[in-house]
Amino acid sequence: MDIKDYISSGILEQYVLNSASAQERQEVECMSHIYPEIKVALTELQTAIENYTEANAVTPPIGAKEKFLTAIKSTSQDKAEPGKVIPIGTTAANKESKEFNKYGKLAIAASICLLVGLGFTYLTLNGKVNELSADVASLETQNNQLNSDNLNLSSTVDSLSGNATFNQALLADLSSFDTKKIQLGGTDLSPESKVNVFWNATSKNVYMKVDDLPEHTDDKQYQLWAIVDGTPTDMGVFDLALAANLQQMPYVVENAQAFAITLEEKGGVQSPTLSELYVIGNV
Amino acid sequence: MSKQSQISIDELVSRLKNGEQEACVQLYDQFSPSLYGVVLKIVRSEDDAQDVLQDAFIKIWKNIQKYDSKKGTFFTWMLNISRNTAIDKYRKLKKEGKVEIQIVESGVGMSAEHSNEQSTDKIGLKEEVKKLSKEHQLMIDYIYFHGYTQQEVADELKMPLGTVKTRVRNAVGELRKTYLNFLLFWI
Repeated sequence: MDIKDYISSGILEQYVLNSASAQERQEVECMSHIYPEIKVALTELQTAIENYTEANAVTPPIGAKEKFLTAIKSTSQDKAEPGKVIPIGTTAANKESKEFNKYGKLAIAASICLLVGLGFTYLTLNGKVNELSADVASLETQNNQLNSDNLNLSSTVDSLSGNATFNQALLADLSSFDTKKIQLGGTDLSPESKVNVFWNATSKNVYMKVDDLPEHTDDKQYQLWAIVDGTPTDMGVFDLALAANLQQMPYVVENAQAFAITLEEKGGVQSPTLSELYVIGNV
Repeated sequence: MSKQSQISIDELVSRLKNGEQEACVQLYDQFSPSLYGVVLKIVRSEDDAQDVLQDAFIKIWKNIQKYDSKKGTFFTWMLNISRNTAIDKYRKLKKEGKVEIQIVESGVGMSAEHSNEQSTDKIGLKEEVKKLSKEHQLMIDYIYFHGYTQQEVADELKMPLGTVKTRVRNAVGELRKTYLNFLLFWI
């Protein structure tokens, strides 16, 4: 609860309408001494009430004025504080106690006022502290989240920049003058099949992209071969599912005259099964 | 209230505090319509209202030394004295069975016709106050003019206490706005 909440709580309205309890009245008076905003709001409301009564004004009948003025003549005013007068000849002790009475009352009133103010400030501060610690907790969570997001992002960046480096190297390799494109055409087993192999004789790297190869059972895998001086050399097995993208083969070759693909047992074999030759192309 | 009249009120208070009986003429001329309006709204009979007004003015005179400007305006202080005197009277009359317990939604209409010494700015204000909804005037009348607690109003009107509280708050809020509008209009 802060000052705004206090002002809008309705207690000031009750105060100006005289419907607040004695304790509430004292509280409002204390609060309006401590907080100028409350004082302003209270004064505004009081003025509103004053104006409401002015708007309801009715001139009293003639004669009432004379009656009042006559009555005044025989009425004396009360003293401000009747107990305040100190009789002549008062002892010092007595005087002291009277003084205490006067200042003591003031001090007590001031203390109560201070207590009300402190209580309110405490509640306000306590509320603020709770709010702030909730804020801190939520900020910490956010911070942790951001940190982990950050880590994720930097690993993504790393992997992307790794990819970019790789792609650049790949592109450099592929676009090199030394790189040859070998088109492997389908055999009688699968006349429609087409696979492109890229081979750089200098870097010896081999790349492959499958255009069309028949599906196979799970226990089989396609295997790429390089024919070097009439002998098939293993260039590695590959998954058909991934082969539509350009991929670099695990092995390198220096002197290839041709490339071919056979369908073999999963994991690959030492030497190709010629009856399972699907595509072949000369360099 | 304008600055100028505030100065004259301060002067009036200090003259009264000095015991100058002549100052009572100004006191009466300046404030009797407002105080009488309040009193009349509470006791609802002109004879009783005149008695109450007389008592209230004498109390104001007798207790003027107790008025402390730090605690509120002189007008509010006098309003409270008049209102309390009238409510005491009303309760006494009620106990004796001399009045019927009824609060009519009178608003400002009735009093406007009674008065004949209204200055222009007061008439303007009255017009503004008339715009206050009946519902809100009723709340102010019950609580301010008849000394009901919010709970008593809720019981009387068979309304939830929360509704009464909200209406009271809005009523005073509206009154405040009305007054601010009025000020803007005259500036």
